[in-house]
Amino acid sequence: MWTYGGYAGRILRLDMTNWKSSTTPLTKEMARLFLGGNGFGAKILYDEVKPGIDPLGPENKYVFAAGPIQGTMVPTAGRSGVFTKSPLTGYFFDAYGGGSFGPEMKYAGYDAIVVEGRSEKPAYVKVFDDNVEFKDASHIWGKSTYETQEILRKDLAEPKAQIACIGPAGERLVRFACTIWGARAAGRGGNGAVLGSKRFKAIVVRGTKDVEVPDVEEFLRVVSDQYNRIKANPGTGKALPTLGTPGVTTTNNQLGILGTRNWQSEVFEEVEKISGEAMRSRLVVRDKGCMACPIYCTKLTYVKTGPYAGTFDEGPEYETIFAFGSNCGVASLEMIARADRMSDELGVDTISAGAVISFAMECYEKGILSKQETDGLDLRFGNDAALIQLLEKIGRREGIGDLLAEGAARAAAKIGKGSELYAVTIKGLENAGHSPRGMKGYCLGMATGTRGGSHQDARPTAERIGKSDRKILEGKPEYAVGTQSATTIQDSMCVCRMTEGIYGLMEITNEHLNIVNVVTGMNLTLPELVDISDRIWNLERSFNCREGHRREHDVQAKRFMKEPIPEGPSKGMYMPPEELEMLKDKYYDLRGWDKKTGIPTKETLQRLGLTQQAKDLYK
Amino acid sequence: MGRVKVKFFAHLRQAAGTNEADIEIREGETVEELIKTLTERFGAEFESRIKDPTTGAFAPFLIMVGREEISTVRGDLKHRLSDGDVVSLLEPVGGG
Repeated sequence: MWTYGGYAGRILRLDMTNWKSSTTPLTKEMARLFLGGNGFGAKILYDEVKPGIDPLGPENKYVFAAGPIQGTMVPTAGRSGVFTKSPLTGYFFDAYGGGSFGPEMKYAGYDAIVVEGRSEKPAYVKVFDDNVEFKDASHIWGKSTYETQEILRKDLAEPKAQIACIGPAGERLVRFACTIWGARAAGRGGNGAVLGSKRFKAIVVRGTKDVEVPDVEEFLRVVSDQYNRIKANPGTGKALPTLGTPGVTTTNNQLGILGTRNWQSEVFEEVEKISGEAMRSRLVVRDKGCMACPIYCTKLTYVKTGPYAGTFDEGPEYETIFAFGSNCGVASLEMIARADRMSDELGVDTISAGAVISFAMECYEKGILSKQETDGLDLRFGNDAALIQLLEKIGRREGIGDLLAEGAARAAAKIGKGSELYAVTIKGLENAGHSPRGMKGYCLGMATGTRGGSHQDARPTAERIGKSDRKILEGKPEYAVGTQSATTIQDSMCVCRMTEGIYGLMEITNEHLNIVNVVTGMNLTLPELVDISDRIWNLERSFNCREGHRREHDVQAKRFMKEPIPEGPSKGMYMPPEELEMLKDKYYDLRGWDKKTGIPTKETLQRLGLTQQAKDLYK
Repeated sequence: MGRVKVKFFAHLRQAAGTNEADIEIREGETVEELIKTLTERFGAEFESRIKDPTTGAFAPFLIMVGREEISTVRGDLKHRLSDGDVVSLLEPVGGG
């Protein structure tokens, strides 16, 4: 038996077709080459999911995976990820959530749980250490994610169990349905629909095992040091604990990069009404932290008055404020909190849900969708009551909600009439709340990223806080590679983005290395850790290339390549296609990818030990 | 001599206890000197929100002088202010 610290050493497999479980050992090679999280997800999915299959068919697989740090005291070690072939993009997709689900999975003795096949009837799975049971979920099918967790926790008399589940949106195969545990979401890419297609309602996990590290004294020294630096850092020690991610709202608006009215503008004139400052003074009732995290960036909110009175919410986060607020022209924080809570209960990604609604609003205002086609809803920007009604329809696929539940790109393809310009998606994924037009490096990193319209492959932070000049092209291929490399290793460790200023915004650093080594005892060098990041990134890319992804798919949303920002401090900025193509040439060189096709070269794949991928992509 | 208007955002607004302040500046005063004036005026809590108290280093964040973006980490803090400038202090934060 190999003895790296941090790992449980097993992978649990759940065959939903036959209601059977099995375990396979986590090999030393897999831990050493792919570390955890996205590395495990990409490795399992590449090896086991054939190209071309329907993401919502039984052949797709869904992987819960943690990294080596989950279950330890490393700050933000409460996080974990889910991995699948996305029904929105058709590519590999990873999504992460905080809370405590990942650590509990480790305590139960599993580094990853693979969900396979398709159950005949709705099912949930109970995993208590080595005891795995498949159960009929008919009584909770149709229930919200919160109701589901309450019922299961009560029925099983296990108050400490962690429960991951889907809501009505996942059951109805909404293409941006998510997985919820507690009130945290592994939000993006439609993973909830994949579980829904397998009739997998929930998993209840409870564990009693330890996660061990090789040298406890050294571990405590390294972790204490990082903890102290998190507390002293003005971002993680002051800004995030005070306002959470909503603090970014006014900053982005001040820079003229806050998506507004479906990205027709990037300045929201009523930003003060939806700011983090307003949320703190009007709605926040308590601060909350995920497991093992000293930052406490989560804000619990309660709406006391008005049409949304009585709403209790964990959040909203910045992305949700952008998605349902400025980007839908809504200046009511109270409605945003209600929409956030509804999204969690329905089990939909707030970013994509807000984006398809803003898409529909623009279509409505431009006469592409009539009031008859919107089921009588007056979908003008800013109509908060209509937004709430439409969100419910989407989550349940009712009326026009059925069309929008397909995501903005598919909806636009069906609607036609020029609406394709208003579907602000990258690789089929609705754009997150950071401006590709206003940040050149981030823009390139998104276009070349695995996930497309996500702010989690390349990162906007270093440009937003001025470490890199957001307006110039020089150095942006390096920026894209650097931030993608950092996020890739963070997602294999499964640490939270809130600590990116501690770990390093634009490259893999000794901070990453020290934590990985002190937890695992692998004694990696920095170049070896960079190789792990590159290996995972190229494996994800290989998965996508095997699905047909090529250079021409590394593009931005049409709006961002065609329409300059019309007003405000970033007026005139956009990404003309010829500029993007020029940046891509350099980016591919840095990555070791073929400039003509966008496929990793055979040499790159072989250097990283991805020999099967080299064979598959160069038959 | 002159005056600038300083606008605070996010948690800096809370520490300053105001959305904006009117500050007197000397001729040729730099952004760095203005920040020193602000930390003296608004105290240790304000300073801890823009500088790491254990190292004294500025957190990386943007300061806008009009529409010009001044970075605390790219050596721009010697930028000279002019009478009537509007200076915006944005939030030093990762994540989001």
